[in-house]
Amino acid sequence: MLGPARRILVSLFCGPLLIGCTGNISDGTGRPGDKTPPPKGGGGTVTPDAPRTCGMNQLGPSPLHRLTRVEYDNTIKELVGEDLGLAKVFTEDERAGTFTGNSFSPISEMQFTQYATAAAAVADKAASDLTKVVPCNPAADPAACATQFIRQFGRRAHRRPLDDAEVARYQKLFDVGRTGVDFANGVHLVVEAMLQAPAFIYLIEGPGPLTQHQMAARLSYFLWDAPPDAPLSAAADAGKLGTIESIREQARRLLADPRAGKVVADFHTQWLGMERLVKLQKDSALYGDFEGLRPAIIEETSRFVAEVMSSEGGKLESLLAAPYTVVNGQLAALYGVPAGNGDWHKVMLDPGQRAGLLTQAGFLTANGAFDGSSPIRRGLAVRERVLCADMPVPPPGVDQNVPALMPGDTTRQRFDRHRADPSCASCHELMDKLGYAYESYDGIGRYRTEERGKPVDDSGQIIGTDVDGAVKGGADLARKLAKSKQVQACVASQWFRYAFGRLQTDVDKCTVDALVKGFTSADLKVADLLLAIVESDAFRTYKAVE
Amino acid sequence: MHHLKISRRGFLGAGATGAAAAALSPLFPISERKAEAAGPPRRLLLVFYCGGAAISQDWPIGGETDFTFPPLVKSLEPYKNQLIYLRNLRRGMDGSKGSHQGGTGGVWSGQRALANQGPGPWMTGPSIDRLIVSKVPQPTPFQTIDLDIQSEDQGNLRSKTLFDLQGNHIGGEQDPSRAFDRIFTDGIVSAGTDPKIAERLRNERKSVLDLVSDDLGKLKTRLGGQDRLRMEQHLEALRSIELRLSPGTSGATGIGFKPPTKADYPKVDFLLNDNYPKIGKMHMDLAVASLASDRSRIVSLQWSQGNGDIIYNWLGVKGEHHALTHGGVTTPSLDKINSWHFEQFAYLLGQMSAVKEGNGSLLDNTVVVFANELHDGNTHSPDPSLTFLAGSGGGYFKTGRHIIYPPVNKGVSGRAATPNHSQLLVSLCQYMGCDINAVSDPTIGPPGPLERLR
Repeated sequence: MLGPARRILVSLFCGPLLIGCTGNISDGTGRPGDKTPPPKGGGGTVTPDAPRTCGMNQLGPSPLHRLTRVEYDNTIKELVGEDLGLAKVFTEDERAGTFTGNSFSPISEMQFTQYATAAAAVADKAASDLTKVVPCNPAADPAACATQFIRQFGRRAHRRPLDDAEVARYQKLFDVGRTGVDFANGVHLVVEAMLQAPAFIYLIEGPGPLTQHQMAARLSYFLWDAPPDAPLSAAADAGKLGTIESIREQARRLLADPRAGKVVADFHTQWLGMERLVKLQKDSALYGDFEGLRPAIIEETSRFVAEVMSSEGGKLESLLAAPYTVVNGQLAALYGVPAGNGDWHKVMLDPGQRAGLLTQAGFLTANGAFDGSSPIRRGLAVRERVLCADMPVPPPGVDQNVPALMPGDTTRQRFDRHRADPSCASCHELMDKLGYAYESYDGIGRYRTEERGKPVDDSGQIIGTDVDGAVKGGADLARKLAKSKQVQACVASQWFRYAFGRLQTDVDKCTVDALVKGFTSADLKVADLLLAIVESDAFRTYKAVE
Repeated sequence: MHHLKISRRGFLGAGATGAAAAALSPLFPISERKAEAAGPPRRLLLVFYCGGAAISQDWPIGGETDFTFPPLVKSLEPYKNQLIYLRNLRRGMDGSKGSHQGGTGGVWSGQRALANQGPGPWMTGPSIDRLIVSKVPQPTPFQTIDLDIQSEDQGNLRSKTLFDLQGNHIGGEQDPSRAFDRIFTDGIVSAGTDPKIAERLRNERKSVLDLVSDDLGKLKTRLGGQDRLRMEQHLEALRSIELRLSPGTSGATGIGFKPPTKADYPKVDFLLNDNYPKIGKMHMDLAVASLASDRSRIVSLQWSQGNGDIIYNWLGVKGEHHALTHGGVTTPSLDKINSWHFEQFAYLLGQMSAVKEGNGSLLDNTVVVFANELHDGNTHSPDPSLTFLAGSGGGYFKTGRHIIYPPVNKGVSGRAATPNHSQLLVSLCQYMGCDINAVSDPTIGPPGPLERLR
């Protein structure tokens, strides 16, 4: 079932030295492609007559996307002008790989209740100050004003104009509320219903080609985690999202907005396992300053990513190996660089110590241990998340008793002993030797040359890739990884998961190959990759799930 | 704006005060009649914990009935006559997606693991709670109630124990305050509300749901495959809520049972590590209250998750739980952790014993199952199963026993060997009235009920 691209990568791993351990590219649990005939074009849809790279039978299905928790709260904020934070207590989002996606599982009765409760809270808010949501004076002509409210709020909540039959149904519901109590109560019921409707909770698509409004929603939820803004909605209303050029123009506009920076930062946080930073704990005896640093460590990622996006279009080489970062006073102290006046500022780093995201405190802390560095976790994160290798799991019954740290042992000495067992070594070679390059950082990413009074050895080795060889330290490793074709392909395929909310299957090969090709033949800017995604046939096409 | 005085913030889920909760008459009819007439209902409480344990320290010593409790498990001694320990119960799992993953995913399902990342089905089939309600729909307001104690793990199978018929994960309630609202109030009508207003509020919610139901119904007909199934399930969720809006849903309440009040379930940061004990207690209380008031007859409690990384600061234990399990099975740190968990279980059993029903207690009339992700956390071995029961289910199982099955032959895979954890799952389904003889793929666990339980 492996496509050619995958086979190549698999073969990279299968060396004679690696008996029993053949990390291959993860393919997860996709379903086989279907054979839906191409839809016919139609007025107001995204025209399928643009030049196509991939035929209809080379596109994967488009399962309905259910709003993630972040998207839900952003959407409510756009609707009522305030972030109510309601989705924070929702059941955790379903994932595509490491990315929030909500594309497969049905919701449970408990989740329905969560939606109902949140909808009522928003309705309370809306009914408490009608001037914010009702565009007319209810006293003048209540019935006409109600209709106007329903059309306007419905257009925004459902991301498309309501048809007359829908308006009539909401009007009926409104009347139930108004007759029972008053106009505000009518508003309450309508808001409650609109926010529980599938048209709000899911990005509804099909049957047939994507409509312009559906295209607008795909664009804004992908690039902003938020609903279309007024210009994008207007473009859809006017039928101006029918060509690749017009889509590109809107996408460029969206990408220039800070909301896109947040999304790109969110991608990197989920990709590199840094969501843990919010609640993970560290040994306070060893890292007494961690609690104070935590917010800055989390914020650095988004500020750094935003900086690379705005100054270099998200150049991959900079994301993975930039000689600079963005720090505040606390982080400056952690990195040993000038603190300036303590505010956030861009700063050059010692290239011998730091290079890009994989040497920053966020990655090193999230993938470090409670009380130490953890070469295994850090190495595994690079192997699985950055190289897209699927590491086999330790077989049940294997003694995983890592020898206790002897007085004076370094972490490396301890893990060297555990790797002495040949049955463990074949796999652990692949991760530990990457992780060893990070031994010059402690559990929260502070640079160190000594551990327990002994000099730290941060020499490592990259095995089973296109950039194999010895490395010395995390910065050296990062610079080599940034040049790896395998890493570049991995990044493109991770973005595929993020954009489509599902793992790629064989049927997606055409799409992913085109993305990888475009990404690697240009100068590897994430901004260009995102444009390539929204311009891809897969992104512009609805294909029914069978 | 008089309507705003009746808070609907949290329709179906919030707001009612303690007094209000107690006053929600349809939810708490004291109706011992059912219990008297037909015997107490069959009830099941599934309790998951993680990280493995050392049987030598954490389990009783001695024979089938003349067993004693070593120091670490003294807390369970008062319940000796209600317990069933299952020694040498074999357990297989599908570890191909990881041992923590297979061990956790299989604990209530006995199913094969399909993936260790989403989206899509995780296991080949359902956990027994969902299997049971699909075969024997329950007459209670909630088919099941699922309570999680810090079990969220960014989409890895190792945090998932409950699955629908398709093998999709079903997340539990993490926030006790929200769980209380959902289970014990309808969130619409508060105490002392004029009956006419109460009726109007309920009718309004029904109108809202009617409209949403129409939309879902129309939508599903034009979708295919999994998307259609998603809409059907969405609609089914809506229907079960509609049912709860109608007064008169069942609610047999034990004699000694004091309904919970909102004041007992304040807002707390349910993801904060150091709140783990507090959340645990609140969720145990909710589980007891749910069973005692017949809100549901099937409840699950999930403590942490496979590969759990709780840090037991309140015990003075340093380090993440999972990391500690790789330091051996009977270290002082692990002993403290397991001993603490057994104390929590003892609290749970104590609360259940305190609810008197007829000649017995809620504990007597329920089957509580405690099961661990693994047996030996250090080696990731799930075999033999670390599972024990409490409560006889109204005499269905014979308690007060330490059943010692034949010694484990390590040469035989825990998957194929009998008696097996998968057979316990069959017995539990049969106890709940299912006419089935197997839950597992035979290569994961043998069919048939578990011998010597009854």
